[in-house]
Amino acid sequence: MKIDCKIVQEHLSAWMDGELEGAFTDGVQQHLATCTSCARELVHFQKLNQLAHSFSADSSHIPLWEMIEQRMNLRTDGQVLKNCDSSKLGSIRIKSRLGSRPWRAIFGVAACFAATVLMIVIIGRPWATNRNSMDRSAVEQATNVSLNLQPVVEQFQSDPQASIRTLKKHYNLEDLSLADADASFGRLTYVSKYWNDDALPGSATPESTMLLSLSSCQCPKGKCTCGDGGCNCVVSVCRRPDGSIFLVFEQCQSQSVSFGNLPVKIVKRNGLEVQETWFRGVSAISFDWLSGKVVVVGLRSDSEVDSLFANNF
Amino acid sequence: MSNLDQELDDGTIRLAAKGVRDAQRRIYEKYGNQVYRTIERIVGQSDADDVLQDAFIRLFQKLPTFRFESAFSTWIHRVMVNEALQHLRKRKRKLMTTNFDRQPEPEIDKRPFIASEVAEVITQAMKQIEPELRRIFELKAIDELSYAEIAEIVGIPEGTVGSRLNRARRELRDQLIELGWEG
Repeated sequence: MKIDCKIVQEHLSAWMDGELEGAFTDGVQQHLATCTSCARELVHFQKLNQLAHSFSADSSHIPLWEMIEQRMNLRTDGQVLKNCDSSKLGSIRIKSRLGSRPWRAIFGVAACFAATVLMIVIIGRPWATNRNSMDRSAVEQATNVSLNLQPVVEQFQSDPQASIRTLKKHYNLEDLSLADADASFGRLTYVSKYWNDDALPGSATPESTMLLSLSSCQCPKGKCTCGDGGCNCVVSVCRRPDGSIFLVFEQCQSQSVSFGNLPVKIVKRNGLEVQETWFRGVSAISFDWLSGKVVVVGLRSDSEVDSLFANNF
Repeated sequence: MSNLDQELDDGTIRLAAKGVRDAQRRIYEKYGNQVYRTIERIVGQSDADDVLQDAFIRLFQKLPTFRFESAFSTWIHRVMVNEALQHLRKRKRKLMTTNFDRQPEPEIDKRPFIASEVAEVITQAMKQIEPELRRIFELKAIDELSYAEIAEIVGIPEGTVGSRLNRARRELRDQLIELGWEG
C-alpha cells in the first residue's frame, strides 16, 4: 500500500499516540523517515504535548481536605454499627425480616447497643485513673477538627461576598440570630459582647450570624463551649459604617483553624499571643478568647488590628 | 502528570494506607489540584467537587493494595480517571433511564493566571480553539487517556478521536505560531 502525505497527515495523531496497529504503523514510520514536511509536523505535535503540561501547574479551588476527612470520619464512626448489623442481623435482610420476626431484630439491636456501651465503658476507664492527662490528650486529638480559611482569606480582598459564598460551599452554614448564637454557646459570644460594649473594630455592627457545623464533637465532656449537637462555630458578618465588612469566627477550644499555605506569624498584641497572616492588605487573625478561639478575617490595617486588642483586652 | 511530580516518600504513602489522616492530607494536598483538573475535564465542573471527594475516599480505601511497583502519581491518576469514568457511566445510565433532556456539555473553565511565559502563551492559544477540541487535546496530552476513553467521555466514535486531535493540534500550532512560537 502506497502511503502518501495525505494518509499520514490523517493518521498522524493516532500514530504518535500509539493508537495504530499492524503493518500500517510501519508504513507511516517509513514515510516519516523520508518526508521532511510530515516529520516536521510530527515534531510540532510532540512539542505541543510537552507544552500542554504547563496547564497542570496551576491551582484550582478544590474542596477542602476537611470535607473529605469529615466524610471518612463519619464512615469510620458508622462502621461499628454497620458491622454490628451485618454480624447480628444482616444489613440488607433486616428490612424484610422485621415484619416476620421483629423480636429477633430488636434483640440484635439491643445486643449491638449493649456491645457499644461495653466498649465505651472499657475505653472510658483509664480516664478515671488519670483524668487530667487524658483530657489534654483528647483535646490535642480533637484538633483534627479544623477550619481551613485559606480560600476565604484569598478571596476576601477582591470580593468579600464571594469569600462568604466559598465558605458556604465548603461548610454547612445556617442563619441564626445573634441571640440564638449566644444561647447555643451558653454565654455571650465574642461579637455579642463587644458589640454591646461598642468595641468592635471600625465601629462595626453585626449584620448577620451563621452557625457553621463541623463533624461530631470530639471535646472531652465538659470541655466543649459550643453547645449541644456537635462542634459548631459561629460566624458573624460585621459591617463598618463605610459599608465594608469583616468576618468573626468563634470556635470551641478543641477545634483548630488553618490558613493553609499562607505564611502565618505568631505576634504579641497587647500581651496576647496572636496568629496572624496577611493577604493583599487583608488580615486573618486567630487568638484564644475565654475558653474558645476567635478568628477575625478582613481587618484592613495594622492599626485596625491593634484597635481590636486595645479595645478588648 | 507523572513527569511533573516529585514522588511522595514511601513512608507517607504507607502511613496513609494505615489510615493516618495527616499522611492522607499530605497526599490530598500534593495531588488534589492536579487530579481535580483531570476529573473536571471528564465529568464537568458541576460534578467535579463531589467526584473528587468520592474518588479520594475510594483511593484511601484502595491504598493498601498499592504495591510500589509503579510511580505513585501514575497509580493515583489512574484511580482518579477510573472513578471519574464510573461516575460518567452512572450519570449516562441515569439520563437514559429517566429520559432527561441532554445535559449541557461541561464547561471548560477559565484558566487562572499562570506565571510562566510559556504557559501564558499556550493558555492564550488554547482559548482560541474550539472548546471541544481543546478538551480532547487536554484529555490526551495532559491526562494521557486512550482514544477509547476519550470517545466515551466526549461522546464521539472512537475512530473520530484521531481526526479531532489532528485538528486540535494543527489549530493550536497555528495559534502559537501567530503568537510568536517558533515550533
